[in-house]
Amino acid sequence: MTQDDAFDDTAFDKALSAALKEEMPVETPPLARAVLTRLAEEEAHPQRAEPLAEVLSHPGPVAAGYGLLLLGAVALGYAALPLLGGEEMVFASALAELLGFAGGL
Amino acid sequence: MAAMAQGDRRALGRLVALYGPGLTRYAAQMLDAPSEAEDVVQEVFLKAWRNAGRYDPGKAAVSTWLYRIAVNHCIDRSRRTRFRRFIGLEATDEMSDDGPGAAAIHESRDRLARTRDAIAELPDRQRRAILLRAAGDLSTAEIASAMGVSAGAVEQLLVRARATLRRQLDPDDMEERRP
Repeated sequence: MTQDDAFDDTAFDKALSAALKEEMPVETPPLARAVLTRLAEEEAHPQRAEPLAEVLSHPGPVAAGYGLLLLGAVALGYAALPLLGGEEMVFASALAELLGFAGGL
Repeated sequence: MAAMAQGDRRALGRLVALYGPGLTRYAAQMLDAPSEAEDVVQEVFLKAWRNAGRYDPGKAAVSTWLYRIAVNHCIDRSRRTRFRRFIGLEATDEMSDDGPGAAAIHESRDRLARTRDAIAELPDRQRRAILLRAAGDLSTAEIASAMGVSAGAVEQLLVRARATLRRQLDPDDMEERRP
């Protein structure tokens, strides 16, 4: 890289920086007030629950909970098999329901 | 930072005054939803406040430390935005905020929009590097530290980013802003 190139790059970066400043003038007092307000809110309510959108955008824990519920349902169904008339009965019932849903026999 | 670690909120205010504008511009260009820039910057300062006691001046300058937090927050926020859009919780396009005097500043706006679009089309790492330089005014070493890559890699990213921007932007637009 020559000295001219280096100067060109510096000038280019400065021009880009000026373009960004022109596009987005930022006033610092409102920003500082917003930060301090949020800090005060956080200190007043340290255990604030996340909004629904945040929960949905962090699906890991929710998905894990849902998976546990499904496992629980499977275990409950397996334990209740004898009460429902045995495995064959449940299978026949599930098959009939499936065929019925698809158009019936 | 030492004053912040002691709980001095005026120190936090000074930090916002010093680095707030650059961080906001960086976030606005990096995020998929630029309207979230101010929110992200607030989170950066809150994180800096909470971790002020752990800041080590021997490892990085304050600016580098703040921009490193901002880089990670922007990546995280963009992922969330994409996920929200994927599940339909958020609209894809942001509404433009044309005001009553919009027609008078259209030409200037078009020029700025071209700059913005050109930056937005850069690959993520190139965009990050050139914005840390232009919005954050960081040196190559500081950008390397903020991005967690080598100085050589940053130079490469900057060279490629500048070359692409030079090809896409009207030279007169950039010439007008030359110092």
